[in-house]
Amino acid sequence: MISRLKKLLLLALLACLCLVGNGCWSSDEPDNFAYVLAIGVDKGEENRIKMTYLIANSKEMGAGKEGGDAAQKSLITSIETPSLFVTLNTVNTYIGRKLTLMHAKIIIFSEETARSGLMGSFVPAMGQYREVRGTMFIGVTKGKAADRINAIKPILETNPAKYIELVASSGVYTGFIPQTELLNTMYISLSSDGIEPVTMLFGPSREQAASEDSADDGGELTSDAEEPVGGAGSAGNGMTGEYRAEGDYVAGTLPREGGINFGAMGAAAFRGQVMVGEMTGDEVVAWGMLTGKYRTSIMSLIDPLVPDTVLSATVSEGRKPRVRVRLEDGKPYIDVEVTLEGDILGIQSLIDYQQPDKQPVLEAAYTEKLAGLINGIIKKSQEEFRSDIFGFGLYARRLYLTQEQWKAVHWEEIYPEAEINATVNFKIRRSGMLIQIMPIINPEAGVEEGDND
Amino acid sequence: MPGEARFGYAEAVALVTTTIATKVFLSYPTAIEHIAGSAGWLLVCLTAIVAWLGFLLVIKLLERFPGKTLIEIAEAAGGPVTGIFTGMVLTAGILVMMAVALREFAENMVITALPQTPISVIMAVFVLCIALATYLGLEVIARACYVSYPFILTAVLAIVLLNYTNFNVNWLYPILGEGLDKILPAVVYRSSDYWELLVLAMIAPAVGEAKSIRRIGRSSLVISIVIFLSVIISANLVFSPAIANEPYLMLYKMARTVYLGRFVQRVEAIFVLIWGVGALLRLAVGFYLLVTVPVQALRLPDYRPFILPLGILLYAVAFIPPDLPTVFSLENHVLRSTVWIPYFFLPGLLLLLAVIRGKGGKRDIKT
Amino acid sequence: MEKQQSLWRKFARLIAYQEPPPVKRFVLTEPDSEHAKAAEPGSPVRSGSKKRREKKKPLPAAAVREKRSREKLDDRPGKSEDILEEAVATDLAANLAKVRRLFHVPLNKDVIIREFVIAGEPEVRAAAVFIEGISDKQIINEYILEPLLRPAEFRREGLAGVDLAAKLIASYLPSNQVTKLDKFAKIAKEVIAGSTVIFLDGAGEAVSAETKGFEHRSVTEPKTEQVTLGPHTAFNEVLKVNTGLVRAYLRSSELITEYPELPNTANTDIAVMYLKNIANPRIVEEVKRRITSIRTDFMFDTGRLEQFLEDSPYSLLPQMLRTERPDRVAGSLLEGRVAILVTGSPFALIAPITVFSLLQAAEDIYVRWPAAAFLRGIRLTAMFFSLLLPALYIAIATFHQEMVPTDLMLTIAGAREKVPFPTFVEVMLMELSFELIREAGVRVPGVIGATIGIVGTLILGQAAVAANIVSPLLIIIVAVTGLSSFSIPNLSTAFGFRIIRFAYIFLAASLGFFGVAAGLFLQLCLTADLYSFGVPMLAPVGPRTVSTPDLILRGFSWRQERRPDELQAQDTRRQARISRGWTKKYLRYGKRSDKGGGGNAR
Repeated sequence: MISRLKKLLLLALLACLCLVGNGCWSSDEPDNFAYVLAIGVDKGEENRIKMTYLIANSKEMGAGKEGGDAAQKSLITSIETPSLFVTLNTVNTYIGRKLTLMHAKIIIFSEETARSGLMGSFVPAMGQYREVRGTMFIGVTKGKAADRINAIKPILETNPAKYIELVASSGVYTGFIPQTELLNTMYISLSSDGIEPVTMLFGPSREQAASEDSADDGGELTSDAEEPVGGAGSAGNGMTGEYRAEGDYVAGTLPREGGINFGAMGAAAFRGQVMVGEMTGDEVVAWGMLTGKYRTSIMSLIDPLVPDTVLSATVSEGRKPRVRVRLEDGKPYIDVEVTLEGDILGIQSLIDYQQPDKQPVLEAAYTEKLAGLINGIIKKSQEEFRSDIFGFGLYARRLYLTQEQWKAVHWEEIYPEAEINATVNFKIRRSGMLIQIMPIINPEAGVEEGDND
Repeated sequence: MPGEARFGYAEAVALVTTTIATKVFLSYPTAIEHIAGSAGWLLVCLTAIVAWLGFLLVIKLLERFPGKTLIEIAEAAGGPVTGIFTGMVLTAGILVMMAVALREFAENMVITALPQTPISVIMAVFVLCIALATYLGLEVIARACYVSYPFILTAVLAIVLLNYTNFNVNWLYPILGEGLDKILPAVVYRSSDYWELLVLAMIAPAVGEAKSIRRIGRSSLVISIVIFLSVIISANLVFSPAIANEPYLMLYKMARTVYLGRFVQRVEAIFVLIWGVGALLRLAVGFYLLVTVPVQALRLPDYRPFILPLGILLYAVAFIPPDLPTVFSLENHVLRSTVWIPYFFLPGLLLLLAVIRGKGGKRDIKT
Repeated sequence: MEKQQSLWRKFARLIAYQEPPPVKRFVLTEPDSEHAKAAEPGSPVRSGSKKRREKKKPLPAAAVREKRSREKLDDRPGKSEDILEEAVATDLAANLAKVRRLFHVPLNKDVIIREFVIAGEPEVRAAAVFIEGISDKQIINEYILEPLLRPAEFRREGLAGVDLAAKLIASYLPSNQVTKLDKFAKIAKEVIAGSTVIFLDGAGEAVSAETKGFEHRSVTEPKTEQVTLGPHTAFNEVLKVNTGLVRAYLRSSELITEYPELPNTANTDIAVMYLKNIANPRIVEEVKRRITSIRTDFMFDTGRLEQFLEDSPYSLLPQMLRTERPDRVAGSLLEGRVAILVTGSPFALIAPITVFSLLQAAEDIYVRWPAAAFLRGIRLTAMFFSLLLPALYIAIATFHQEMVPTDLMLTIAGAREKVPFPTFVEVMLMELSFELIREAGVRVPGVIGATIGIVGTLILGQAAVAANIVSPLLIIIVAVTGLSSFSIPNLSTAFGFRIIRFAYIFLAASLGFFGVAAGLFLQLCLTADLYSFGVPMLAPVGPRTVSTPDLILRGFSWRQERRPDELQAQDTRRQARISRGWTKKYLRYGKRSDKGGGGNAR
């Protein structure tokens, strides 16, 4: 028996719901939005900052449409404004749809803003805005962010967002860039003691940067003083056909042809909210190994027995790095143990390193190279950056009982004096599909069929 | 009237657990973080122990007066004046707590799901729904709680576990967080987080005798602790103590940080559904108490006519705080610091009164 | 001259005004007595001469009491004939006169009165009364008239001073159901039901012999509950056939069929079946109490009976199960439920039930566990989709765009580019057209049925998308919703869900996910408040009772040991703990057991 009160309540509820039709306050049709996929922030010329937006052109991506010209997939616009969020309104004066950041995948700051500390001060403000998702990627680019955003016109993908996400997460299998998310990684590092932020580094394509160089006003595009690491005695800079490690580049210096004017390689290291230096791809690999964020990548090595040739192997993380920190008289002593595994990919010299007498040689050679990289970046972080980008300070937290005790330590000041001892364990587990390598027959050199030694 | 409703162990546990644990959707984790830093788990465990001690007092009281609700006990122990006085004080207290809770849940909805909808509309919908549920009776609410608690549990655990890629054990250190000097005083006054155990006393006849009430209280407390601990520990694993102090809604923020690849990314909207149902259930229970307590105190035959006026009153009182920070400080600094007093002293005083006046217990069994 | 005149006349007739021929039109006007009745204050009768709105003056208490008592007497529909109160007279002619008055013979051509003479010592005059059409003429001829008309047996008998009716019944009437009747009320009931009543001259009682036989549909396949791997029998419209079908499955002496009296003008029979040693007697009492308290005009179908019996008529979910499968009825009876059947209806009602019974299809018990569990899972998903899918789409597309992965969001936005309507209007359009198609599909005569299908698909599918009236994603959503609602095994539940779905669409369009949450909460509370003959419908989850493996996903058949707890049957164990006795031997395999391998396995 439904009573009057029940009926009354139900009717009142139903009446409330008749405020529908055009939707209520918070509802918006999905095609009334302009979805921003990427944001670029530069120092402004007329106003304080210059924002560049990459807006998806959803009608090109609708169901059942074939791909058209890649350039039409998105709309890119720049505008000068005093602050981050008011641009959303000013852009709407000429773009009809309401700008929304809810699907923004990445925000790129120019190197200028990073080095001046503007970027670091932006990040907390962004976290407050509801539409900004904490899982957005964040990176620094050499040159102007507007140029970089303008270059995101992917050829293989219909959707620029997919391209951005794939590039930004490629660090998982290449190791060359850290995967920095806005809030999860960057902001936590900024506001916590014991770790300093590291972000991805973007840059132009070197061949197209040359043409940009003339039009640009003094931005450092090509890094000129990058020493090749682990080179076998050659002092070349990569243009002379000599060995240079594949990760030994920073974004914008990679000798490549083709592809769009956009690339991600290396990282920008911060001290507090100010960018203090760059890391090459290999240094990021070492950083990843020390922080436990490294998964796998392919690493080349000059063949220890035949220095003319180069061999490569997949290097993967074997175990998470073991870090032990102790403090004596205010000086930290840090022991790091990194365990890695290898899978041989291709041996140019056809020396069979799987043999029990040869395998330790290869392992030793790789261990030396990796130790060199690791110690190199540690030294760089202490001397050049003077910031604990690895998060060793986090382990130091365990030594204290309360937050106040920990705060009194001032880790960022004592870190550059720390004594850090890194050991690398590297083991080769398997060698691709071959269990033995047979040589190429060369009767003049005395190499017979079936000789493998 | 509560005497007409009857439900068993499982529903009672679900009811009380829902009432206690849904505060984890709101600002509770952040408040704990403010006090204890990375040692939130310690605070939760200790407050639970203190709350349990208070609950034992309540059980003692219920044992002396079997089959009576708290108001009826007040009446039996101290006479009708005590009964009415207790009832009125309780009503006022529940009204304030419920208004703050209603406001908080509505703000929760505004922040997470409906940013531009005026809060009056959302609160109106809340009040209408819980009015209907209260009209249908406590049994219905208990059954609804029991049906939905697996979903609520799963949702909470899903948020907790899906964040595993962001876990970093180091954020749990320093192990004692803000320090014992800050945590220990808070243990006492934050035991008011579990004041909802008193609900069992107010609906006692529906649930059974003191022995089973004790079991129910214990089970609800344990489940609530598990929920609180899992949320707080995982919040501490994902966010550094500095950052964990920031968000108003910790669980929402955690849901937003889930990133397991290109597809399992933006899962927080599903949780809005579950939180909506959880919020409605908790408010329904509270509203039921709000309506039945004065009715019991004044010995009126039916509580249903009170639903409409008390609903309007609740709606109006919920508008009093002018903005969100006021609500936050009301909830955590004012209410949570004071509710422990009536939680302990009300049953304590009643027990004392009953012992002094020699009421209740084996000598005074009637009805 | 005449021809000219007639021509002129014809012309005149064309253009002149013709009075319409004075044919009397039949109009049903109110009789004067009605005006008089309406003039009475507070009477329910309304007539045109009285103004609709007038102040109702409150009647004094005595007048109200008198009005109420008058209404009570008028309780039974239809006036009671005085003649029904009379008893059978000894005089045949008097009896036949009463019969003629009762049935309005010779106005009523269906009632046949066959007078004959039973040859005995002395001769007895008799008459058989039956109604043509609902009685089996062959049975009447062969088994009533023939034995009584055969002279040979009777002549030896002395029929004087003998209780004629009893003697007839005991020795001479080869009919398998005979009763003695003395009141005309019962005689009327019997004749109306199709039996033959035999009046005997000199006997103060009449004899009724069962001769029911009217044209009916044969027992065929079920129309609404088809299964692939199970029996294909369904009820038909004859009550006795239906009860027979149930008895064919449930062969137990404890199976009882009762016929509670439901006084109605149509005099339909209602049967209640249950197992006496299992069903809770209070449930049976309640069922009978409700049935016998109904006062109405007709009860042609269990659907109508369901509406009179259910606890919450406003609810959108049914509280009793309607099925046309006798095996399902038999299974339910074994669980402790009660079945209600009505003459003329191929559906049986099963009560009490829970919400979970509405999710079970007949096939579930006949297939193996993986298939059954999987099918149940699909049905659950179907239930969820049919209720919430359009609402979730609206909520996500208009409120929570950030919830969707970017690729999908851009696809949705792109698909909606050219559509002129807001999402809510789009969804309502599609839903309404789908409902129209569904309704048309039911009504349309079979010949045109196929065409409608093609037209519907073409209109909704291709043309609407091509004309950019709806987005293609929405077509998929509406189609999936429609398919899901067909997958719900219980049709009444599916109906209820169709209506609730619209409520959810409104809620989602106004308040997004919060609206859907509020809707779920309300539906949960309202369902928790539903009772089916005293059993809360959300049991065993609602009030937590002992659950069975058969609840949501079906467990193993050989583990379903107990009857549903909420029915409080008299005997709750239905299967032995180890119901597959042959496994017992293997459980002890390899161990020497002195309790005997297997023991009392079976």
